[in-house]
Amino acid sequence: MNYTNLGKDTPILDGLEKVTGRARFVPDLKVEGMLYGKVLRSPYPHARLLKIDTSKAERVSGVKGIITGNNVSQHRFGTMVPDWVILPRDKVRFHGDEIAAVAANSEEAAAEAASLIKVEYEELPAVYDPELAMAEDAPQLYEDKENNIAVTFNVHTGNVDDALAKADLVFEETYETNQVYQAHMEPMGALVVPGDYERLIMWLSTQVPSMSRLRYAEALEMCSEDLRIIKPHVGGGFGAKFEYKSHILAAVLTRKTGLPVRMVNCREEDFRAGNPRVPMKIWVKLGLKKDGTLLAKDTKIIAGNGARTVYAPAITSTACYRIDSLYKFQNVRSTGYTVYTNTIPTSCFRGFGNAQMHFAMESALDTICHQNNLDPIEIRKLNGVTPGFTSIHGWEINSCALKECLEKATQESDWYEKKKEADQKGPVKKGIGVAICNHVSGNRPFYKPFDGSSSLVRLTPEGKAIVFTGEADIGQGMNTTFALIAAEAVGLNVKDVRTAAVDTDISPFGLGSFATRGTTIGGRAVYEAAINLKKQLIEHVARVYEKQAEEIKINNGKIYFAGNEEPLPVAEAMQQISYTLGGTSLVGHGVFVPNTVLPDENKYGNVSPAYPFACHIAEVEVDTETGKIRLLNYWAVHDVGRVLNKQTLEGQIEGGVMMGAGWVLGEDMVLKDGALVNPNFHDYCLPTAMDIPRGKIYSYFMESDDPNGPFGAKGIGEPSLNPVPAAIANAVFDAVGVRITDLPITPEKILAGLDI
Amino acid sequence: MTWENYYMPSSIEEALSLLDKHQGEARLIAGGTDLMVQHKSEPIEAKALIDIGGIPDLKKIHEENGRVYVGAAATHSQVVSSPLLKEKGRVLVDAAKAVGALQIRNVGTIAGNVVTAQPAADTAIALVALDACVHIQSGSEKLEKPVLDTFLGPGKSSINPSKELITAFSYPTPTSLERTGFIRFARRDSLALPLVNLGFWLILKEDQKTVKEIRIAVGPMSTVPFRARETEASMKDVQISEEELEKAGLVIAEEVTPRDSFRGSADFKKYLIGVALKRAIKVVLDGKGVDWDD
Repeated sequence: MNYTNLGKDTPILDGLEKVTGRARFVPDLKVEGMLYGKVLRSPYPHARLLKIDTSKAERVSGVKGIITGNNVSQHRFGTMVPDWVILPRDKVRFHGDEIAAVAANSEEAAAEAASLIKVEYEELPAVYDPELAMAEDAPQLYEDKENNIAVTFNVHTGNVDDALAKADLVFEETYETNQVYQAHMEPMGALVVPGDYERLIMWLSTQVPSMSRLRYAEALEMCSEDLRIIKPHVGGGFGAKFEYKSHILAAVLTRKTGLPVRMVNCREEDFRAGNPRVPMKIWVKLGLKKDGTLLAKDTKIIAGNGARTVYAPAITSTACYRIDSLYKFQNVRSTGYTVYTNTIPTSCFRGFGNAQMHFAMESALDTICHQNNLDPIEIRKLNGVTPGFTSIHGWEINSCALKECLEKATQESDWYEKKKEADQKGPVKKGIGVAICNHVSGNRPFYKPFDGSSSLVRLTPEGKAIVFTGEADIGQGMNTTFALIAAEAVGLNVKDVRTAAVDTDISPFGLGSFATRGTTIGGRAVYEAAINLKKQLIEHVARVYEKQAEEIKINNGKIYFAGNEEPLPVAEAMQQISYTLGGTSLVGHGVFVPNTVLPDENKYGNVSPAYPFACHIAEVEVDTETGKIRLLNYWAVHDVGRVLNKQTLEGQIEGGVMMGAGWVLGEDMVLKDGALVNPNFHDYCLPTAMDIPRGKIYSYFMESDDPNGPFGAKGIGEPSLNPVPAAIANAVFDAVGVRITDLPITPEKILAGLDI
Repeated sequence: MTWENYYMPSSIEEALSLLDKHQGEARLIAGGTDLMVQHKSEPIEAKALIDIGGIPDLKKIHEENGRVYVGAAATHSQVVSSPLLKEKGRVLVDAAKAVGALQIRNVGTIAGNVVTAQPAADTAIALVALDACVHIQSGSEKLEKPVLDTFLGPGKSSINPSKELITAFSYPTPTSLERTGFIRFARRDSLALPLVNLGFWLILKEDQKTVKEIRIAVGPMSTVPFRARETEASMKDVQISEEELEKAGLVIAEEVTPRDSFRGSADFKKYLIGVALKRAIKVVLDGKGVDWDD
């Protein structure tokens, strides 16, 4: 198939304004009379609030409003569990918990006032480790949550005990994944402006504009229609930018003062009270036949929820069972506990629990292969799902190029030659490791009422198309992808198409950017809208130019008729059409409702319209004297269904690989007595450009043409990260024979493993 | 309180007279890469800032009468690209390369790194290894002192930036039997404080293999840059070999007393400093540069 716009390197359409600094993000926004919001955060991990005195703070010049638990509604709400209040009256539950919020006419006045709020606390015993928090005598965060368990997830399909009893090989190991920070360049923030008709206009740095609107309406006890959410440019989210307390606080302050309030986290707050990755302890037991055929998987997971629930329970359940549809399992059992601790509330982070479980599973397979002389490539080919397969949980695998990904990665990395390399001289040893992954492109149970998307594509009298969607570009390039899809489907050139910023007064409802759903579900709705628009355009061209609809073709911005007739620019045709229709634009409307179902009580049911797959191979060098690990080369082969934009795909892969490498090779949120020790980019060590592989990150794409994705495309955001920790851990093992089962893999752990 | 005036003198005399005029209420500023960060959390108590970055005489790097001089306001980038230092001050070049990131190296200065007195400042470690002399002017008075004597504690320098101006650092031009080198290990390859860093100055005997004398400076092993004198003594008259370097590594690991931190345990840092010593000397004797920053 020849495409005009797809499969090429298309720079993101808003790239120029971003690199020149013209693009405006929430922290750049300013409106007349705007106040600055500041949150007072708890200096204790767990404490009863005895008294809050704001009298001194109120006297600070420029202060316009202060809210505390004593003057805001105490109704409970929440994302998954109703354990949120706007501000607490009873107690604070983590170091960084919100106690009060101030709005003042300068940042300095707001900060000063916040520091003058006098709070009397009664310190309470605190617990930080989720496993310890489940103990009978552990301090309790919520009275109604026994053993601090927020949610328990259970699944058992087949007969695990029987299968384990019959297995030739039984492998058991415990893995731990740590808490890491998304490190979006733009910290979380909101600007809330009072609107007409008592409405609130909220400019949010968010990946879920429409869902935030529903949740904030609940928090503010308003009708969601009275909230208008606008999403300007967003500087990254990676899962962090879902519903957020400070957005609500800004709205309450706006209502209280009648003035616009902008509330933006400073970087330290973003670290201390963002929504970092869910830490997990994962027990894995696997049963296999001698030849490596997987018979059973038994897992138990204890996951840290932090001090209130954001999305950790959904992340825990994902860790429990999503990987069951990567391999052809027959017997699986999993229990996951999402447990409260007096730490930062945790939430989504690229990979959504599947990344944590992939570290465990793909590390386990590597060890099994090593111990039993099995081939790590072959074992994955033997067990991996195939096109048309229905998994143990009823997931319908349509397109699947997993086997091709494995083959390509093996070949490009020269895997078998490198595996043969004999003992290496000198203190620095090379190693190579493999891991594969699956993921979803949409997740039916995430938002209980539905999954799906809709879109409008408007073709103006000037022949320009504007895509309206509620799905959020948060820097990953969704708006460019949507424009490419619309351009290709209608027959326009992408330079004549743009995607409008999300504005809930104008854009359709969109669940948002998560579950790697933007391209597949959002993009498919855009595709449907574009097809609908094209049909209208052809009909009107036929009418105005007195042609047969069947003989009209549209390509690259031109309308072609039968025979040798000169093609007609779309812009010219649209002008003529609009003259006959009162100056109208044409509007295509498209809906995509995926063929997915809410899983039943046995967690059975197809959750995603398409499943992306990947194989990653990492080549590392380990210095046995210093423990230092260096990336040499990285091969990432992805089944993306269809390449829509090569450049953004490569960007996602390189970003995902380095984000995963940062996690596995050192990023760590270190707590001391519940307080974060390293809440800044100096002490929290993200990889820099100096830490990228010495050689290269090689990206390859398999086009498996998914029947549900737009032009066959599947998502890339999360699968680009899922296999990274295990691929690197396996390469480290190959290099020096040290198996690290708890992240991050630090030089100290390597040296300990080498008995130095 | 914040400053009322910001001066950019163009000569040493002008800077000194501005200091004099403000009677201790002005403060010198060079690159400001530490000072401005510090100012955010702890405002600088000064009525005026005097920026010495525009004084050509303070930016010179030259050799004179058997000594190498590095101007106080020479930036790290200037040091990195100085052909003179590449040949006659390798330890300083390699240390300057390790500082922050390119943007910081372009403005941060050698003197600034000494006055802010961080126990692991890379160029400070190098200057201590060189046993550099600090040239200071205060009013009409000129004085000199060994750089190590200026470090009083973490963030504490004997040099008063409201009264005293460092004009340069100097050290004797190394002979053909002298070698210098620098190495550091950190959690990532740029923009990171070192887990350990080490600079050395080695004088060889005529055989080019035996240590006549060695100076070793390490960080962050104490509240100030640390001279590993026991290790230095243990290496005297030793013919360098793999085995001897291993031994020296063990001696220095015993001699230093680092602290536990979230960056790494004390034991890990003690062990690493031994590896650092061994490697730093080995790469320099092999005629290679250090490769942690290429």
